[in-house]
Amino acid sequence: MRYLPAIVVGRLARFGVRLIRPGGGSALPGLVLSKIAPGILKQTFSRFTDGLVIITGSAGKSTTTKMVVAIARAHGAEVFTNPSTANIKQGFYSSILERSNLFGRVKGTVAILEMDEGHAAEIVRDLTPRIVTVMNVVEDQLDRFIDPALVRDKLALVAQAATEHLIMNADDQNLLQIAASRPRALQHWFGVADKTQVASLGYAPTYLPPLEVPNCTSTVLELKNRKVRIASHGKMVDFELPSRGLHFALDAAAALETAKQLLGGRFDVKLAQETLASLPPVFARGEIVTINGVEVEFTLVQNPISTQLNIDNLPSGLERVLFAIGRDVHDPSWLWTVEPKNLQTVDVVTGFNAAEAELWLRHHGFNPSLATDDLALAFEYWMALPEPTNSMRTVVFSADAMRRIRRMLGFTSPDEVQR
Amino acid sequence: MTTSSKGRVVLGSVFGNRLNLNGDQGNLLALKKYLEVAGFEVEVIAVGDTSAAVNAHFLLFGHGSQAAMNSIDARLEKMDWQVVTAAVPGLAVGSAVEWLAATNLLAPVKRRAERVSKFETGELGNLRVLGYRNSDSDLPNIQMHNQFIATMLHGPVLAKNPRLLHKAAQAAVKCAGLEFPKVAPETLSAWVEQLNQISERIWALETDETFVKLELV
Repeated sequence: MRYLPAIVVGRLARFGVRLIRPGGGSALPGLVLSKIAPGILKQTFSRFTDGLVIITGSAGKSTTTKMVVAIARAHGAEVFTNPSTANIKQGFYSSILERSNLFGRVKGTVAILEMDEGHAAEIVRDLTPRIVTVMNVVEDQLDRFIDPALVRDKLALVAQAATEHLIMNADDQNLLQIAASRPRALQHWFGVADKTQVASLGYAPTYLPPLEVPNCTSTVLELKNRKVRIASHGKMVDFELPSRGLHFALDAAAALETAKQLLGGRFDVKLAQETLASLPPVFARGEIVTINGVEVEFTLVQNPISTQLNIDNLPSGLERVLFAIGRDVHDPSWLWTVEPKNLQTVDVVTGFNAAEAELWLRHHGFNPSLATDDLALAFEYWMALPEPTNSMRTVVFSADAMRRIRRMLGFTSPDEVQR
Repeated sequence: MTTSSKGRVVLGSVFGNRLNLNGDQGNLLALKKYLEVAGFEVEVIAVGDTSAAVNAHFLLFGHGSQAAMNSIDARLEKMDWQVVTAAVPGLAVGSAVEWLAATNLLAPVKRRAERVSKFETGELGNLRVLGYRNSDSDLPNIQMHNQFIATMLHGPVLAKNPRLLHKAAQAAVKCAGLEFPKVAPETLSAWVEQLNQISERIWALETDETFVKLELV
């Protein structure tokens, strides 16, 4: 009853926002709720009988969260989770608004949450997560985070909050530093078997003598195209990844380890395998949509390393590429850390930062035929270009450009993924 | 159209594999491309000591993470920066500028209460320069020390400021004992036209100040 007025006000705010902008605006209603009922977050997340799981880190947390949620649900758990577009503080309030009854009560036996690495430390001050999964530290959003060492410090605070299980990436030396101050009994590790591949994953270098890599209980053994083999607690898990790339295979290893620790004796590895095999891609990570009868692949890039990895993992020889960098990239300087060698052509550059992206691309020898910040014009022009003969039309975009393009195309729900 | 080589210019990257946190190495890419379309052969070398540094005709000393700077601190200290900055033109960015300031080559750093993380402009002689500043120091956005441009504006500052790029290219060519073409080759004019157009759009997006085009003869 205590939170009834706040929930009503929050929902009115959400209704108003959606009238103005269909498909958008989860942040403002959450902000409103956080101001008038700040205690609802702690109350909500302390009520789940199977506890709270937090998945954080620089990259891969959306995919991993979706995988853990799917595995848990396949095992019969009633899961509360947040959309990946709502992984900062007001986003959690928005998720509560979305899923609670009028009294602020949310159904579910377990909460599995993706948390932004910059906000997680502050949020967990009021929470007691049973499980914390930390993916990695990469050089990302330096306009916000300044230096990877500061991200590592924030993630260390989140790791300290784990009461039962701390699950981390054994191949990231930053996380091995964090582990040094945590009880060994809490720690569980995932990683890749072939350590020569680690450098390609782009974790922020510590430039220190390497710490000894711990034994992993979930390990990526093999990846061929999208077919992956992961050993998890002595059992083989074979399936086809929903998206391309070793980083997605590692996300799956993290998800298997997290689900195993969450479900304990109830964990059925065959069921987990079947669940992972049937997952659609997280939106815009290798998602294929049909636009006016034409298949188009969407690839989201969010930071230097995800841009590098996603470009590297695109099929080579793509003939029709639209590259869009939006307003979310406050300092586009990091584009210049990326080598777009795997791209053969870029037809169109667009988004708020079209000029910055064009400058970078032209220095790498690309000659886009159109560069404009007008997304609608760019997309229409690009779709009118002749069909590619040997490849699929591919859009590479940042999160802001992705949201605007999806909204423009009428994909109003961020979780609405075609496959 | 390729012109015959007007000579060889060597660009040096000071610990470039560690000092590229914000894409500062893009400045070498911009300078290399500019010199190549102007008709020069360009070689990029890795620099980790004074003797390698003075063999270059332009040096880039980029911004690195705390971990990267800590890892090279001892080797940077062994370099004679007074000699290097006097002998070779260069560009120092962000943490590199702070490092030079800490060695008393520049005015010492004072910390501001507030970190600035936004696009800003700076003045270098008659040039206005645009770039992204992410710093809590009081160091100016851009200044000169000997032949070094020292800037807190990181990323591809040369690429988006064609007049500064031209100044850097002229300095590199002079250091190599060569002459910049008195009449711009067609390839260079076309490239400058593109740089001007794109940079003007970036300036319009990030500042109220007017972009001044690079005009070549």
